[in-house]
Amino acid sequence: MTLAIFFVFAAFAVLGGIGVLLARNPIHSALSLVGTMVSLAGIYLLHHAEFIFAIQLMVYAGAIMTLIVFVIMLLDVRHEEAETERLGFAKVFGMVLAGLMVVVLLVPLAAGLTGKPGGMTEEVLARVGSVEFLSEKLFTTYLLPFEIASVLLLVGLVGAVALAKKRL
Amino acid sequence: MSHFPYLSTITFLPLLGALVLLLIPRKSEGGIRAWTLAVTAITFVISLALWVRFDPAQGGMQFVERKAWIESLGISYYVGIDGISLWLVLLTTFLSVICVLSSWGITKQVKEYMLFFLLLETGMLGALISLDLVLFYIFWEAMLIPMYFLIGVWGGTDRIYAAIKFFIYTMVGSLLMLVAILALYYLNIRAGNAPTFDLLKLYELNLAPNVQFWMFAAFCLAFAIKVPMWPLHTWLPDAHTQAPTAGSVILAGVLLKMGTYGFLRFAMPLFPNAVEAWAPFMMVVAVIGIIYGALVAMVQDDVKKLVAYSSVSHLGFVMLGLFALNMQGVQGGLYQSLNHGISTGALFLLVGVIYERRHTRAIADFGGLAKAMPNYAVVFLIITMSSIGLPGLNGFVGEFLIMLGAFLTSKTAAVFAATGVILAAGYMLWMVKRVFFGPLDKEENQGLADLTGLEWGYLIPMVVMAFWMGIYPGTFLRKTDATLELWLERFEAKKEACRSLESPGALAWLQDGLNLVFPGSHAD
Amino acid sequence: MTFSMADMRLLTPHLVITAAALLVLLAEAVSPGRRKGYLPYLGIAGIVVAAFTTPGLFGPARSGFSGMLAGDAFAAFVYFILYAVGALTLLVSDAYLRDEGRDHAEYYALVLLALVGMMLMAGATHLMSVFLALETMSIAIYALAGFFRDERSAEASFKYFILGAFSSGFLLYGIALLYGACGTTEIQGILDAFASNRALAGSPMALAGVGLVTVGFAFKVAAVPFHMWTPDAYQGAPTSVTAFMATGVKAAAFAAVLRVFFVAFQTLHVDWSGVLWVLALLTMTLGNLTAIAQTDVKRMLAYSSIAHAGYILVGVVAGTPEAGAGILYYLLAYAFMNIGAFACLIMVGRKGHENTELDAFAGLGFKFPALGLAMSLFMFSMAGIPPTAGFIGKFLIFKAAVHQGYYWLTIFGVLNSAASVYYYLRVIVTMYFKPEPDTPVVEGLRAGPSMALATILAGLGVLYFGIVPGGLVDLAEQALRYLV
Repeated sequence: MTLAIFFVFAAFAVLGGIGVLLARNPIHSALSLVGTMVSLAGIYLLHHAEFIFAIQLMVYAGAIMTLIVFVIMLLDVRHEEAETERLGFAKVFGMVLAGLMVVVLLVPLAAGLTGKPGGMTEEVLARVGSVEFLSEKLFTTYLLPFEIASVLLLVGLVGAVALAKKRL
Repeated sequence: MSHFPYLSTITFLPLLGALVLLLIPRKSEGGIRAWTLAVTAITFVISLALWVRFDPAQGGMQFVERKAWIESLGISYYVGIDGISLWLVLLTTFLSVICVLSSWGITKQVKEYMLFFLLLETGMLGALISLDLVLFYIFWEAMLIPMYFLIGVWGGTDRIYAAIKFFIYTMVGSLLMLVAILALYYLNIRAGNAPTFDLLKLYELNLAPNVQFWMFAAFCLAFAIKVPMWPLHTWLPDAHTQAPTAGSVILAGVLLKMGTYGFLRFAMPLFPNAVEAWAPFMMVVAVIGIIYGALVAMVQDDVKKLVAYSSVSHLGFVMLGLFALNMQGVQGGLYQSLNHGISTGALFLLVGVIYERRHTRAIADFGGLAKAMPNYAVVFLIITMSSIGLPGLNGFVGEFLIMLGAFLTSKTAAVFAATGVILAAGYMLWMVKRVFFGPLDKEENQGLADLTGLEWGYLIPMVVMAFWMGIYPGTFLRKTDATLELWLERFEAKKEACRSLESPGALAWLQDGLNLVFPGSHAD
Repeated sequence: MTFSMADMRLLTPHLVITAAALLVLLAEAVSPGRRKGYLPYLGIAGIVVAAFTTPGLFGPARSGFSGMLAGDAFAAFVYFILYAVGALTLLVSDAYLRDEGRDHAEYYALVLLALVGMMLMAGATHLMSVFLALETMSIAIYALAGFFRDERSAEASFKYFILGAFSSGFLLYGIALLYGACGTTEIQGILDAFASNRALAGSPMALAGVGLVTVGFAFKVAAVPFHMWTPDAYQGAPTSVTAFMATGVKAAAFAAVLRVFFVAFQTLHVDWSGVLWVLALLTMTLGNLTAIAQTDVKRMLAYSSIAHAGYILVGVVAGTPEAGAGILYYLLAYAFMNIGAFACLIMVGRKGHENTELDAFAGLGFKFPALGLAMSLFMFSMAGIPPTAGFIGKFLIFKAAVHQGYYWLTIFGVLNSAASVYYYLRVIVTMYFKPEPDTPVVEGLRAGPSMALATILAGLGVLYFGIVPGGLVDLAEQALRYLV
């Protein structure tokens, strides 16, 4: 049952991704991305990561996507005509590479290997709760990566200002 | 044994001089020239002390200096000379003075010219005195940079092509040698010795003949390009014809000697069994070089190119002597190296003299010069005789010893090489006839001035040396006897010691080569 | 499981530089008028302070933040390479940005923050920190590459960003697979997992993880065939940023490669060395062959940086501490010679005109003797000709490769090195052997005191580490002793 739901979500996530690439209207692209984000949120829920699920919905599907849609509307992007389709060498080469990529991604599955379980098992989660577990990890063991992420955000901020601000 | 560090002094004095030169203002060209001359002259005088104090009875290294440099890798500043390098060092310091004199007429970027010249002298001397493989390699490569600039900036019309060709040819060979040096280093460690690039320690390392085969090939390529041996000689005529006069002199006089010196100092004593295996091949190639160089020289219509090809032929003789592997041959080879430095160096100087006056080197543009420039003609004739090996002049002694040595090893090779001597007489004398004799029919040639005081100044020492080395070679040979005897003795001993080491079948080298590709599975 | 002052001690240099970045941003905001020439020097001051607070240069290996950050000699060595890179980049940028009218605090702050990212990459002992640090560095560099906001700069930034994001994806998926196989993403933990379970080395999941991590890093170090972004990104970016990318990113990425491959994947050497053997050969050869065909010096240096990545990969293939020490040395030498060369490129340009075509260099050697001398020195060093640091670097790497018996790879390496001589010399040929055109392209040099200082420092570094390499070699070997 869980597996079936997983595959449904996974399929929607992939379809959403394809939609982002293929849609001619940027708004449709953005909406497809929302679909992907929501599907991913569903997968998190399946893995008992309720907190991440909520964050994913609120931050990605909610806040960030809204922002993107706003930007698209503000910029008043016209419907862009897709370029004339040519099956050039680059495209064929790209497809071959993509195919190889899929093979690489499937290898672990095909081998039927299941990974080692990490620390976040169902029992642990049931005992301490998803948010508590996560926050404890985040502020003790993973404190440094957490802090690096804050610098990362700062870099993104400064970088965006440097690239986009009109009068600098 | 502590003594005055002669070798370091003469090696780094030009470098120091170059640094001081940077402070002399560009405008005072006279000051720059005088300073350079002073530096090279002082270097030469100090180097004479080596001659005086060199103990001929001793075959080993003398004037040794040693200082750790990169200790963890066993690289040290380790220098010293024996009978092989003594004369090459003196030749270098001597020719440097001559070259500065002959460059008096340079007016384009004098400061840079003299700067590169002094750097070149440091590089050459450093390579000749190094007894540490890495130290040697560094000087050997560093030497290329100033020479490259000398050809590229002050050379003839095709100078850029010639300079790059010279550089890349030499680089390819020496980089492969670097790989072999590294391999040798690890083979030495694998044999249980302390890590070292010390040449004398590495002499004692006995390697299996099939290993030696490959190592020698790499060293041989590097040195054979430098010598240059046929068919790797093609950079030489270009470099020679395009280089300025002093550049040609240094190129012929010293840089080419680096090749033969490399064989004597590194390639042969390190890998005696490989030398034995390669010797027939090398002798054939040397003989081809002798005859090929002579034949091509014969059809040249440019005097400088003719001299350049005669170099190929002469160095074929040198190589033939070395690979005869007996006392006469090796000593002859060494001696002929020195002779070639003097006589071919002098020939390039003489070509430079006429080129400065007429701005052409084509044989067809001359004729009857003996009437216009009698003194010049006399000097030219003497040097020509020395080059073709007339008894009483230096060339004879070297060629005679080489033929003697070659005869003992291979009569056929000696016979073929002898035709080279005859051909040499042919092309040189024919050239002299066309340039100096016959009617003085070209108008431009009639008013040519004879040798100036400056030209006499640098030509006389060369002529004196040609006579001295021809009439009384004992001065020079005596100092090399002990060294070469020890050299041969060690060569034979090591050859015997290595012979017993495992030597796989005929095709084993092929398998070795393949195994080298992916060694991960059976690396120790 | 909390952190202590000992942990903070390991993080001090990073904190100092981050603080310097913030200070630079704030200082501009409160600067009266347009006086902001002191900003880069504020950044340099930060780097100097960080250098003094760097822990663990000689001490034994330490780690902090629950095994997330190392304080070993290896990290310290790479930090010092990065300090040199950062300080030289800031020095070089000063006059350049002012001339181009883009001297903004954001630039200096981004350089400093990228530096923090690079340092964390070198120090990280957990794949999670490695990844986040890599992203911090990369995002800063994307923004820097586009900093001039003209078409080429934007293209550089965009290409680098797209392919960078792509490579991050590879890396992340590789890390996920490794986590699946080993149950941990700690570098030491992965080593233990592979060492304790021989069968794990053959598991497809682990191998796919190793492969994807390899691809991710190959993108970052610009190894063929993952190098496509390099020429355009390097050519389009502001020259000072190109120098920073070529040296800093490379140093950080290779530091991470050393930690991951030499420690985490140590027991799998047989598996990955073959792949990297091919990568190294391709990278050297293609980098050099395409560099030969270039007529623009900046683009030529971009391809040459690919070739240099190839030489360094030879060291990775060898996989011994000796090779690692050689790589560290090479990275330092490369930092000096490359930033020096790019500084020379900046000097010949003027506002809006980079003048990096080879022809622009004709006759410059005699016209500007100091520039000619410096550029020649850097070119000879890159070609690996003694007595320069570039030679010692190549020497150490090839030495290690020969030691492990990789004769053929070494031979290909030296032949490549000989081929590279051709295009490095061509710059010198043009500078000295060709006469200046009648209408000179370069009339004056864009050289202020800071630019001169940077070039002189780089030149002295190239010469000093070429002539007396002993101490540094010992330090590099020591660094590796604590790593492996």
